[in-house]
Amino acid sequence: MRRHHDRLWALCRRLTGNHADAQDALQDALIAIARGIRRYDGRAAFTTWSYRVTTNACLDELRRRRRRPIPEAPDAEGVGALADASAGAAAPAGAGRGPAMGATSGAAVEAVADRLHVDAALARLPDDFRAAVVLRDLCDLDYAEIARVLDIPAGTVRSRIARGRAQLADLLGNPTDPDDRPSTRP
Amino acid sequence: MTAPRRPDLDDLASALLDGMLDADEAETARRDPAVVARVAALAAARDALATPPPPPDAAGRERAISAAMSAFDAETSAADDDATAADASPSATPRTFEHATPLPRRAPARAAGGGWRAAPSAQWARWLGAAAAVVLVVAGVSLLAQGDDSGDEDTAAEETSARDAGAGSEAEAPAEADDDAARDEAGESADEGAGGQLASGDVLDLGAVESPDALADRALSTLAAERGFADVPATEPEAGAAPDTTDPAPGDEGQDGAAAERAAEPLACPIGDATAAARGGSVDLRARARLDGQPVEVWVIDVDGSLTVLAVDADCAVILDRPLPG
Repeated sequence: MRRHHDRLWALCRRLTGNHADAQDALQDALIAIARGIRRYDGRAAFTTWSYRVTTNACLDELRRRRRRPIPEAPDAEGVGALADASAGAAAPAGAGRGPAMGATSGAAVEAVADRLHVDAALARLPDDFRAAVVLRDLCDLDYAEIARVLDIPAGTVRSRIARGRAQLADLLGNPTDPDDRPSTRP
Repeated sequence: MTAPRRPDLDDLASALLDGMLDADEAETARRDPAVVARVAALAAARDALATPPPPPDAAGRERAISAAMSAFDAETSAADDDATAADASPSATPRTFEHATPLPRRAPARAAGGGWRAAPSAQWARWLGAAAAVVLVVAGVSLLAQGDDSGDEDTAAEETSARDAGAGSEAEAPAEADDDAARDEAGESADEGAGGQLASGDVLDLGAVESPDALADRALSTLAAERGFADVPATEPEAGAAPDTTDPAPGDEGQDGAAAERAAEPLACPIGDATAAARGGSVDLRARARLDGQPVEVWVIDVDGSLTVLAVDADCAVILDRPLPG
């Protein structure tokens, strides 16, 4: 469990787009894996099998989220990280923090902003495209493995990855907000 | 105004990025500036996505894992409860064992002290059938050991017929249940008679002894003799093994310490079987004896290779309970 936790967390985080939903989805996935381990027959690699269980948990979470009447609060993790990083970058040089520290914090701000920007762009992809692209580019599964995870033909995998990447590239390259602020609009 | 993108451009660029084009297609795509530019844009998107998000803190990780393990434990307990309920019911539908390979068990956990006194169930019928087959095999070999040196072909024929009789009842056991646990238990009980342990129904007569020490020694030596006696080859070939066409091994002709007399009537006191079950072991020997002229019942219990002798008097009171050497 511990060995696979972070890997599955990354998948949940990218698929759901925010920390809270990722936690819920990952919890569901780990429980499903624990319950289903007896039925795991070894025909597929454990990685592939666990990704399948986790992807399904994430897609279920996304469907539940759409049914929720209450609008989601801003991603606390992302806002907090951005605030912390910004506070570090804004500290005056005379406060004991040298230029190097400020530069590091500046990089941190940029990293967090990039992450939120990617999340926002991913959130605008259809679930099917998002799953295919994340499984390929984050989880590094090949097309055959993705086909097994998503239970779709390999040709469909290729098509979804292509279209998902294309939309992602367009969104990342051409942000909707003029000041490049990340948007969490689903 | 930019020209509308070719519908196949993203597919070509993405496939080229992932190495999914054959050599000719890839070469053609690389010569197309539009494809090359698109590959660069898709690669940038891929690289942005490839950086994994930071994992949650250790406390969050442990919470998630603990919840999953609790679910696993609950699932395991439910599966064991289902197995107990299913096997306890004589009319239960054979359970398709969907779960992974169960842990091996040395003794059936459901062996209750008074079980043998209860009305016969399907499980007991299976065990009795296997025990009867083993008794036939051992009796047949015993007759041969008592002086009939001739007719190796007859010996083989008898053993074959006895083995077939045993195989018939043994074959019924796995056919009655699909789950691996029941199959393992049936295999264990069937193998007991051939692989070095007595069948569950055999009760030996250890004769008269003068002290508990002598009783323990007698039980141990009898068990050793029974195991050595039962090691005669060609009584129960292992699965996949070639038929044994060699002569019977030395030891099955007039062997000292040959099997003690057997009685069909089971022991009256259930404490031996119950003790074995409680300790997670198995009963390797059941016997009667006379200690200082008084009837006693004796068990040798095997728990993970450690032997214990247990004896009770006519009132089912324990008079001996000690480890045996070796």
